[in-house]
Amino acid sequence: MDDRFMHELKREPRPEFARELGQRLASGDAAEPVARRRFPLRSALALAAGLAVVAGLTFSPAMRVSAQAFLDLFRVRQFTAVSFDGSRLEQLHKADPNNTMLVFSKTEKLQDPGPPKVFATAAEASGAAGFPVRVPGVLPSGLVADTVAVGAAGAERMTVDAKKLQSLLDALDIRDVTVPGSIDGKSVTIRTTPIVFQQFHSGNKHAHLVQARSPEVEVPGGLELNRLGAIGLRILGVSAADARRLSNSIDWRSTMIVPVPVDAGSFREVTVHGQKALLVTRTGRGSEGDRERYGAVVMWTEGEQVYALAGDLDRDELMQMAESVH
Amino acid sequence: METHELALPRLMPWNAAATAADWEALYVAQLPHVYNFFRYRVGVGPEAEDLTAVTFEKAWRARGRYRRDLGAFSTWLFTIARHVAVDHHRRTREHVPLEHAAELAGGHTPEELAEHRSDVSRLATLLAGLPERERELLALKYGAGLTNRAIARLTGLGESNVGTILHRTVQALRADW
Repeated sequence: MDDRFMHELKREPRPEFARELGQRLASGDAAEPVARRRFPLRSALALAAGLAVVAGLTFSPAMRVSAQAFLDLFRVRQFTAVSFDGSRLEQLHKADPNNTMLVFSKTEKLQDPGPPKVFATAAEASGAAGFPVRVPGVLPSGLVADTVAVGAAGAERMTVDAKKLQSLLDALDIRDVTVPGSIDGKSVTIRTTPIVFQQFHSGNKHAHLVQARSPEVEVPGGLELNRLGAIGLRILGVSAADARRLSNSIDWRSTMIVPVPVDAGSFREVTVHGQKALLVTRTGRGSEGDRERYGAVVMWTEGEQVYALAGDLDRDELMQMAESVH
Repeated sequence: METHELALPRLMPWNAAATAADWEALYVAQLPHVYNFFRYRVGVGPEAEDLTAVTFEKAWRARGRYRRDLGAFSTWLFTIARHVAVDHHRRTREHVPLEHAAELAGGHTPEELAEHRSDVSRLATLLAGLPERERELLALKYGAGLTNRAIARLTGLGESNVGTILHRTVQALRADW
């Protein structure tokens, strides 16, 4: 069938239109808080991050003396997974659609990282990142390297609102913990360093390797870290007994909590390059027939760098790829 | 996309940068397809740009709900575009005067320009006279550049049915061309 005439209407969009729309979308991107997700894990993580910051507001007076007497630094050194009831997130969404304002009265962007820059190769991205970008030597399932993006450094300051946090506890009918008034109005500053994001794909399969120096969280001193950690865990739906036990055993200054809904994922400790790592696997079935869909992420630290490798791969393939990062 | 969202909370803004790079690349790749979908769907006037912008703005706001395991990004994006077109049609419900001036590369004679403008006009007029379903299928095929299979997934029609409708409609347009 000769349908050449049907193509008469096609045009390239005007460059000015394309550029202005792109800029509008990107600027909305930079300012937008973590969005709500239907899959509870994403929301849980946004919430947990906020809670981890709250928990990071405390440190034991016995900790090392810093030159900045009223500040201490929180740096990710390890990950700990915590199972929680995913339906708790639905409750929280109903209470407040904008998860990021659950505990903070305001946020202030101190340094805007701007949109990430895309590079053709890891070598080029290394220059922008300021550190050598490591790449996987093994690409399973026919994966091929795609884009490499580098996000610049940024900084954000958040002010804690103790009343908001207490209201949240009340809304969730959590009575066994209370918010210490001493955290009200305290500022928490998060400084992020350049981060590198490498994407791989093969047909419908995708994988991402993220590499960065740990973000730093500056918190004021004199607060009880484990008490706030317990609050965070209770908000996630962890039982009172488990929340008390965990909050007293975790080093809140160096541990990132990764919440995993009991009905949607599983986790275990593994090693990557001899370092302790956390492997979280998504379980369940997909929309195509009876085939079980894989999805997993492994997180680990090496020296000053933190890594996350995630993809539509099975556990063995993911671990093989992680071990091959060099 | 959800899998690696498992471990990228707000304290680790890698997700923001990584996701932004993803979306930037998708925007660049999909913009011409969405724009031309609207050129075929609603006309070659400024509405095509306006509705393209609305589509991407909606998609960006809703990008957290995109689930890679449930289908290709283009399918998700054009689901939004179709809804935007339906909303636009409900709001206007009248023929919009067609734009006749088209931007063409230099080097054409006035006669060629006039002939081209005329062809754009003619096709736009013919498309405007089609039933909604047929016009949408043509917009998805020739504007968006989707395959019959992708169109079938979007519209819920069978792939074979999509092919038949497209063939019949193009034949009819050709007869009037």
